[in-house]
Amino acid sequence: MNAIPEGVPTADAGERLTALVLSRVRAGAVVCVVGGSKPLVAALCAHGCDVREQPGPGWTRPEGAEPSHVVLTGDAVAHVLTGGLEVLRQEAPMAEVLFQLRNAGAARALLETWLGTAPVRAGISEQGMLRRLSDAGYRIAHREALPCASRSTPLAEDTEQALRALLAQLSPSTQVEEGLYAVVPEAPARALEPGLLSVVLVHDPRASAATLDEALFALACQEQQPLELLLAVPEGGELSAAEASLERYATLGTFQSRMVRAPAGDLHAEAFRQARGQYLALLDARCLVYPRHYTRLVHALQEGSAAWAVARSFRTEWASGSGAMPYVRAKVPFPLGEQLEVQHFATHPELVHALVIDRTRIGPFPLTGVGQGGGVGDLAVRLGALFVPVFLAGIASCEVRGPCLAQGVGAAPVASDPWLLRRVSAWTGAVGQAREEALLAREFRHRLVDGVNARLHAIPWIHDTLRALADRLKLDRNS
Amino acid sequence: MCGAGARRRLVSGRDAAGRGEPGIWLGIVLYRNPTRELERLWTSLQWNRDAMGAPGFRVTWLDNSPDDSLRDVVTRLDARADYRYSGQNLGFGGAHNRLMAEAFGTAGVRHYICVNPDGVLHPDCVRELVHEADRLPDTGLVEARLFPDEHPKPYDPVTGETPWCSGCVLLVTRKLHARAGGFDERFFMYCEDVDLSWRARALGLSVRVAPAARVHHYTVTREESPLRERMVRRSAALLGAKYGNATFMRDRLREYSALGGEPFAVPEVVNPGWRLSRIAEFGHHLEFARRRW
Repeated sequence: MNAIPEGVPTADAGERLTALVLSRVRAGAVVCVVGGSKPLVAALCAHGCDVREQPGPGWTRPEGAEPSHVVLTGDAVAHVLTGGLEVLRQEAPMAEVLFQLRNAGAARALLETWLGTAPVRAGISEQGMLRRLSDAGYRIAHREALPCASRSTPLAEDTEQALRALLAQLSPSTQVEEGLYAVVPEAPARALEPGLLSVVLVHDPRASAATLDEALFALACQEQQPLELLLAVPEGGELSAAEASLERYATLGTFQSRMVRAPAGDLHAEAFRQARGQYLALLDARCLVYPRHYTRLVHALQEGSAAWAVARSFRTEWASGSGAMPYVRAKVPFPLGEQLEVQHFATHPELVHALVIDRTRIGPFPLTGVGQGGGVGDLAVRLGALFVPVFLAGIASCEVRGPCLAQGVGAAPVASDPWLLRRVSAWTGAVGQAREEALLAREFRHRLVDGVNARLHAIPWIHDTLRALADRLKLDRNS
Repeated sequence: MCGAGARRRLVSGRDAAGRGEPGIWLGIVLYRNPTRELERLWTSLQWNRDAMGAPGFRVTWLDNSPDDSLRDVVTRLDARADYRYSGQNLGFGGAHNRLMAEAFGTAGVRHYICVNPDGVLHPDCVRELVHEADRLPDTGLVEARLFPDEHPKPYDPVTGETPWCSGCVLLVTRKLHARAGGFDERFFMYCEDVDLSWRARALGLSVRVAPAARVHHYTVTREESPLRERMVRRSAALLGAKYGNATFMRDRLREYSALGGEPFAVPEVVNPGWRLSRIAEFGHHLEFARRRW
């Protein structure tokens, strides 16, 4: 996907569409131009194409050979995208479709409409267009986006920035003012299956086969039903051991499984696209889930209105250099406490492996990050910024395993710095609670010292030491 | 097939083609188990038969339930299953003792493996247990590693030595059976594995974990059962009495009573002798060993 520099005049839009079309057709291609554009038709003819003109705005199948390309111009763009895509997909099943779209859902347009400084922008939003394309059986093969102007309202700069950031977090499409698109046919997206949990297990081929096998074994013995398991492996990765494990554990009858192969950078996105479940969870080979982990999370979502639920997890630390199997030196639960704090999303990025998302409640929120190779390292932070989760405190119900923390358990750094959508009272409540816990801890410390002091009063030098310690604590409190 | 896997199959008795008498017996003691539980276990036993380098093994089911309705379930899983109905609840140790006696009364049987019916055996479980047992001549007991939430008691990461072995999936060697007998049947359920482990160690036999032998067995979120809690305390009190720790016994009896346990004949506190005394560990409540976490 390419970005057109901000400030490129819209007068060039026709020329840019012409340039895109010419870059994607060869001489002899059968090109149907819907909506009428004399310069484009002339350019295509000069390029050696067999051009069929249609006045539009609707599309009808032309006589003769099936078109290899269909170009939508003018009013035909909104007309076909909003009501004629299925017909186009059916009657020109092999055709690549090219068009230019002014985004009715651009942040600039939304804010200007909200402030009353501009009328509602007519047409279709890019987000709506993407959904319709997916439903009809198209995928984006090429996209050139012109970003919104950085300032477009009389609001204070920080305020406008925050509002735009929140919109961008919900849907990156809101940051696109205008775009050029080439879309190609593919299998239509299937509707989410209610009640189904899709677990995407991304396998890094560098991880040991034994570790992956254990992750799959634990999944096979968990209790949530129905469950589909998508084992996502980068293209070129060795799969025979993973396939053997999958085939064997499938005989327990607790999951349906399939493999997802894609380039490493697109792996998460492709797996999420293929996942059919209303509920979605993400694992990797380091993870183990306990039998009721998913049943508790899904139940919590079904009982309430939250968009996602997350459980306490164990960070399982392996001792290095021990026997053939990793020796578990310690299991450390995280996050601690009864409340999930916003900071936990940043300090424990592994929480991404302890959550379940209800995809019917997050709208167009992008599950994969932008500009990070389509990764999910910051997914918990981004989700937490916009959607307050249900936190299942109590006993940890899953594990993330690895060498001890000092050597790096594998916590991915959180690259993004999202804006937070919360009530002010939630913030002040969290701050108040933190203060209260600090006071309680100090009180407890003092009572502990007093208790020990009373018991050891008869031993002079210990007593003196304790007195000195208590005096220092008092000074600390008074300072 | 060559190498260690092939050698292990030969010494284990029946090979993959089913020739010969299996040198490994698996005993499964039933008590009113859900059908699904037994289906899962049976599937995992099939995995173990199919695993590369796996030893041949025989499976015997002994049903302690009030009736023999599980016979249909077991024979539906395997028409030739060796199912026996005990006609009474013999308890965990009593039932395994009967199977163990029969197993070791059969020529060629080297190891008996207790298998809890609510576990799912990893495909390598039986093979790795046997491999670990055969690694040293003084092996008494080898336990499978509980999975996914491993038991926090320690073991030596190199030798596998551990203070005691869980009876969830537990390999008992012929040598141990010959020298220590089986479980102490006074423990109707719970703590009999700790007792057998301590007796094995006192006899100079090795008690180890086989980390690569995994059994899926998770009970942390199992519903609270006052009956189970009382049985644990009662068995623990007996363990305290048997190993001469009157304080531990009294504390457990107090808990038993607080849980609503019916009065029973309090066991006599005996002096177990120095060999057992130096091994018994009562300083960690019902864990009987320090925890790793």
